[in-house]
This record gives sequence, structure tokens and C-alpha cells, in this order.
Amino acid sequence: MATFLAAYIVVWLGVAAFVARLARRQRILQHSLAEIEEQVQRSSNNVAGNERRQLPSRPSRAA
Amino acid sequence: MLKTAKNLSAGYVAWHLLVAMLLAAAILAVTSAPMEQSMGHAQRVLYVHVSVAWLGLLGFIVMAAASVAYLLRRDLAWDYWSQSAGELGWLCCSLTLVTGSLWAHAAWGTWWTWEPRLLSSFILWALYSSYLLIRSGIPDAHHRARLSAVVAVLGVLDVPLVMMATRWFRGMHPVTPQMEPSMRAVMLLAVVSFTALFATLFLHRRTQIQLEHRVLTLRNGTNMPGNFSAGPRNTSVPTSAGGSS
Repeated sequence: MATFLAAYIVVWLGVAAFVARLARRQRILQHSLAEIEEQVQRSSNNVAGNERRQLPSRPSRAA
Repeated sequence: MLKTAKNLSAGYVAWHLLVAMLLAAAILAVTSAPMEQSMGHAQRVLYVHVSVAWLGLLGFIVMAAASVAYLLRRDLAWDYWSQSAGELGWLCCSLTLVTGSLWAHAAWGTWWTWEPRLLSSFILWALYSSYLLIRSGIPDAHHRARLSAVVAVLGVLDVPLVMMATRWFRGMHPVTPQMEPSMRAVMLLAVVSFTALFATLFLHRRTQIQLEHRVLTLRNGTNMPGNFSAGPRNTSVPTSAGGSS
């Protein structure tokens, strides 16, 4: 019975290691996606700021 | 919204069914399946050994088929299928060698012997390993896919050799042991449940590989440094990431 148990434990340890690796890579992936999203957000904010600066200023009432 | 909820519940049910099948296979292998007279309890290793051995062979066939599709279409989407099958197949092939070795120690009194079935299985494991080593060493996505596809297509010739080794050559490994119907039923349940688990992990891994390539493409587009510490060392942009999936 010890041989059977050892074989079963080995197989499940192997499957668990694969699932753990899958989960770790998923975490890295989500972290990377969040980083890219942040970068894109920052770039779009910069573009909007530049556009606002380049708009011609309104003529004053006095003029 | 309703569709998503339906998909979620279907996935939930399928996942529970899979866990129940795996548990049932493990419990029935100990309780319901009769004990073999000459080998005793050690024979029960067969239920898990045959399941992972079958998946090791199936993994190589899937890997080679996806590699052929890549070589014909040059679409990286096929390479993702091939990589996913290669990783899982390597795991199953390694587990086959370990569980087989445990069984051999109980049955033959030795952990390992160079008989035809064991030798051809070891060659299969070496082919899987070289496929994964090649993949980890080449940064360009298409170059990597092409070289590893060649290894997979040539390596698949070993699969019939593993399957027929006990018939073609005289060795110690049992050919097809005679089984009682109850033993056969437990074996079938174990093989089906492990195959379902393999299919689930295979699909998950394939989706993940595709996403990793997309993230790398986005990173290259935004000039961010690549940081997949455990991921592929690919820094070149795949031309058809996600292609036909």
C-alpha cells in the first residue's frame, strides 16, 4: 500500500506544482497589465495637458 | 450578464464534477478494485501510472500536430497550443517515469532497468526536455516556434515505439495485463478523470501563453521593460499573436 500511496502523492505533488506555477504567472500577468494600463493613462493625461496648453487664449474683454 | 452568470455556473459545476471524479477514482482504486494476487497492493499503482502515461503520449501527439499546423500556417496561435501541450506532456512523462519506477521496485526489485519500454519512455522524456530547452533559449518568437516544431515533429516518431515496445521487443514490462471488470471500470474512471484534468490545465495554460505574448507586444509598443521573470524570454513582437484563436 505504501507504493500506491507514494505514487499518488508524487502525481498530486506534480499537478500541484504545475497549478502553482500557473497561478504565479497569472499574478505576474495581472501586475504587468495594471502597469501598462497606468502607463497608458499617464500618456493620455500628458497628451490632454499639452493640447490644453496649445489652445489659443481667449481675447480679453478690454481688447 | 445572464450569459456570464450561466457560463460561471457551468464552469463551477464542471470543476466540481472533475474534483468528484478524481476523488472517486482515488477512493475506488483503494476500496473497490480487487487486490491482485501476485503483486498485492503495489498493483494499484497501475491506475495512476497508466493514466499519466497515456497523457504523456497524448501530449506529444497534440504538440506535434500543433507544430505541423504552425509549420504550414506560420501562425503563432498554433505555437501556443504546442507549448501548452509540451509543458503538460513533460510533466506527465516525468510522472510516468517516477510512478513506473516505484512500481518496478515493488514488482522487479529494482528502481530502473534498461528494457525496451523504459528506454523508449526515457527517450520520449528526453525529447520533451529538449523541446522545452530549445524554447527557453531562443528569444525570437518565430525562430523559436520553427525549431521547436521540428523537434516535436521528428520526436513524435518515438510515440509508436513506446506504445509497441512491449510487443515488438522482448522485455520485462507487462504487455496488457488481464483485468477483472471492476478493475477495468476503475482504470477507465481514472483515465477519463485525469484526461479531463489535463484538458482543463491545457486550455488554461494556452490562454495564459497567448496573454503573455499580448502583454509583451503592448510593452514593446509602450517601450516598457519586459519583466516576465518566470515567463518566456521573448523580446521580439509576435506578428500574429492570438491569430486564429
